[in-house]
Amino acid sequence: MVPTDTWAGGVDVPFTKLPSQGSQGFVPMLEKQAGKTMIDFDRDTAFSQKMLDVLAMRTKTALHNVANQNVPGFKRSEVRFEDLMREAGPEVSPTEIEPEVVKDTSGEPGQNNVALMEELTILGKTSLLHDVMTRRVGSYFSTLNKAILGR
Amino acid sequence: MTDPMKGAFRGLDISTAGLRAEMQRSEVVAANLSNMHRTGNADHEPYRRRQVVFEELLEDALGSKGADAQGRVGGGVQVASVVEDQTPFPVFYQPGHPDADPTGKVQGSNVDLFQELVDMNQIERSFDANLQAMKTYRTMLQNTITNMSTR
Repeated sequence: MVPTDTWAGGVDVPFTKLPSQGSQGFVPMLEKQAGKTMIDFDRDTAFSQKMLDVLAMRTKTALHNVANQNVPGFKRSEVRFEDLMREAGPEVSPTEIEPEVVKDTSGEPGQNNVALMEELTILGKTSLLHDVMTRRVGSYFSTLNKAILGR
Repeated sequence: MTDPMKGAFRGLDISTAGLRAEMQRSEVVAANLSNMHRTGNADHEPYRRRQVVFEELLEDALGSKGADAQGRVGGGVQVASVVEDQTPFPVFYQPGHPDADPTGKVQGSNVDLFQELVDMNQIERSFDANLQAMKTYRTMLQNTITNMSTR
């Protein structure tokens, strides 16, 4: 049976959750309001927010790696999140997963393993994804604004 | 995360640390090049080549659950120390030189011009990489402001 959400007017509207959103709501505060949430935008925003946190962390890690490219014996670190999300499966909401900073210990011990091109590529990718996520949040707010102002 | 703004601009600080460290390294190279002809003898040493040693700079506390075992992502790089190169001084025969000993031998500085030029090239590349990474981070911050505004 398809779960239904109740609109403010009391009409039952079928509402199918995306598999990635799991069975739990992302925003407990809204869930408590007796299913009166009209359109569940906030689940998407919660995901964008989480992703932005991860991306900020990843950028700083890449910046740190670039800054330490000439330090003898330095080992680069990277942020794991997407693969943790995949491992957790569709039942777990991404907001419950914490990103992990891991040291990449490849290469000879005592030898620096920073590859400059790789770090700049990570920075470029992260920057693009960051752009996407901020646009998502931005469009959510402008939609909300439209609903409030009616124009 | 204690202060959100401090967190947002931390990335710039990491790159700045990288730029500052490379700049200090280039100053040492400049000092080596300008002193490379300072001769000496048994009584006083000629100029000894100097080298910088870099070390990783760790952030005091990031406060994120996902950070590494020490609980931090990183704070860039710094110059740990400036050490003197212990390679022996080259000796050349030049009687009449003010620094020549009774047998006509003069000690030269152990600065290798080509080594310094190679170092300078590497510094320039690292500096550019840090600057590029900083620009990317700046664009991300800018995008956050532009994309998230509702108007």
